[in-house]
Amino acid sequence: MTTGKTMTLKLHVWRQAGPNAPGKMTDYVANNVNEHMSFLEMLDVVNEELTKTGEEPIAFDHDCREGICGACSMVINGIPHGGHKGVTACQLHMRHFQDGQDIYIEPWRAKAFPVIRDLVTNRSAFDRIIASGGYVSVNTGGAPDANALPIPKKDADQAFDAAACIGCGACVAACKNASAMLFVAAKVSHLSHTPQGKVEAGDRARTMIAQMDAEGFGTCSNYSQCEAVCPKEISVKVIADLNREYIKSSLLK
Amino acid sequence: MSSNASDARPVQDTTPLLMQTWQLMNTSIGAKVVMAVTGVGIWFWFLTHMAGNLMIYAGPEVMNSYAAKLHATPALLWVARIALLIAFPLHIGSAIRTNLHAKAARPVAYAYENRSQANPGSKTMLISGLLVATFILYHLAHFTWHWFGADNVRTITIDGLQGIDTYRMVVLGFQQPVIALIYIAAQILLAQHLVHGLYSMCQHVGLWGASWTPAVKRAAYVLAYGVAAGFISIPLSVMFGLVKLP
Ligand code: HEM
Ligand code: FES
Repeated sequence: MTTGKTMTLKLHVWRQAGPNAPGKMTDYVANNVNEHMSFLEMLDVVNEELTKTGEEPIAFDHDCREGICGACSMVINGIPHGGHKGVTACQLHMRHFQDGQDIYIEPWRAKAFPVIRDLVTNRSAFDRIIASGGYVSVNTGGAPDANALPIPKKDADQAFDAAACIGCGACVAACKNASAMLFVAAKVSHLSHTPQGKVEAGDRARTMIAQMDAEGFGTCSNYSQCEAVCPKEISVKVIADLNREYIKSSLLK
Repeated sequence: MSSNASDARPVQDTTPLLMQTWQLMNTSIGAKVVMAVTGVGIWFWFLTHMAGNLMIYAGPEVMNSYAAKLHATPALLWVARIALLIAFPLHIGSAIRTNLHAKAARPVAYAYENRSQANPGSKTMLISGLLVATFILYHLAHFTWHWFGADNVRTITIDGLQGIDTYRMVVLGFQQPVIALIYIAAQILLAQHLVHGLYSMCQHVGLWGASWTPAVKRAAYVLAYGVAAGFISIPLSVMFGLVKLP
C-alpha cells in the first residue's frame, strides 16, 4: 500500500439477504481506510474484515472499476455515486471524505429496480427498454464503407454526447419521481442523430417509452436531478430531443 | 430478408384521431404534454386578467366601463370560461395522476434524504398548484359569486349598461388586511409555480437550445414574478391608500 492518510469511517449500510427478505440499515466501522482508495476498495477492506468474523460480506455490483461499465451503483449520503461531478462510485476516492465521517450507503431505490441483495439491484428493466427499440435495423450483405456516409460534425457530436451513457441507472436513483427519462432519452437522442438511426427514430421513441411506462418508472418533472448526478454528465437536452421525437411520431404515425 | 427486426414495431396505425389523442394523454410523456399545453392556455388567461386588473389605476370610470363591456360580451366571456373549465381539470388531473405514478415508482424511501440538486420550487409543484387552486375557488367565491363581502357590491349603470361597481368592490375588499394578505401570498405562491412551469413546458414539448434555454430559465423568473408583482401592486396600493374610493 502506498503512502497516504489512514482514516476510520462510520458506515451505515443497507443489508438485505434477498429480494423478499426484510432489509435494514446496519452500522459498521471501517478501519484502516487509506485516502487513496476508491470507494469500492474501501468496501473490499470492510468485507475482508466481515469475512474474518464470519459475517456475510456486503454485496455490491462492480465490474470495470474504471468508470465505463455502469455496474457500480450505490447511493452515498443521499446522492447516487456520491455527488462528485462526472464520477462513478468506483472512481470516487476516499480523500473526499473526512476521518471519522458518517457515510450512508443505500441501493438504487425504484420499483423498477428491485433489490436482489444488499446494494445490488436488478436493472433488467433497462435491458428490456433497449430490447424494445434501442437498436438500429440493418440489412445483411456487403458492409458499406464506413466513411461513405457523410455525417455532419454537429450531429456526430450530439450523438456521441448521448452515447456516453453507461446505463448505470443513477438518473433513476436520483430522480424524485424515479423516472428513467434521461436514460431512455440518451438512447433515443444518440440513435436519432445518426443517419442509420434516423429511419426508425419515431417508432423507437414510442416503443421505448411504452416499455419504460410498463416497467413502472415515474414521469419526468424536469427537476434535472438526473443531470446533476449523471457520471457521464449527459444534459437534459436529450430529454427535449426525446419529447420532440415522441410527440412528432405520435401525431404523424 | 423477411425477418427484419423492425417488424415488431407498429407499422401503420388506423386508430381514429380522437382515440389516438386519448392514448397519447395516457402515456407518461403525453400527460406532461397535456400539462404544458393547458399551462400555456392558463398563462394566456393569467396575463389578460392582470392587464384588466391594472385598469384599477385609471380610476372607477375606466375600470367599471371595462367590466361592463366585458359582461356585455357574453360570447367572449364564455369562450374564456369554457377554455378554463377544460384546461384546469386537465392540468390538475394530469398533475395528480403523474404524481401518484411517481410515488408508486419509489415504494421504499431513502434512509438518507436525497441530496441531489433540484430547484425547491420544482419539487413542490403539486403543493403550490393545489394551494393556488384553493385560492382560485376562494377568489371566485369572493369577487364572482359574492358568497361573502356582498355588502360591498353595488349595482350601477355605466355607458348605458347595467353592471356592478367593480372598482368599489375591489377597493372595499382589499381594505381588509387579511383579504389583501391572502391575495398577496397566493400570487407569490403562483409565481414560484410558474417559474418552474415556464421552463418545464418548453422541455415537455421538446423546445431546447444551448444558447437560449438558460435565458428561458432567467426569463421565467422575470415573467412569473413580474406578473405577480402586477397583481400584488393592487392590494398593496389599496392597503396604503394609494387607490381609494373617490
Ligand atoms: C397559471 C398558469 C399555469 C401554468 C402556465 C402552469 C404550468 C405548469 C406546467 C408546465 C407544469 C408541469 C411541470 C412539471 O412537469 O412538473 C405544471 C405543473 C403543475 N401545475 Fe401548473 N400551471 C399553471 C397554473 C396552475 C394552477 C392554477 C394550478 C392549480 C392547481 C396548477 C397545478 C399544477 C400541479 C399540481 C402541477 C404538478 C407538477 C408535478 O408534476 O409535480 N397549475 N404547471
Ligand atoms: S464498476 Fe464499472 S463503472 Fe463503476
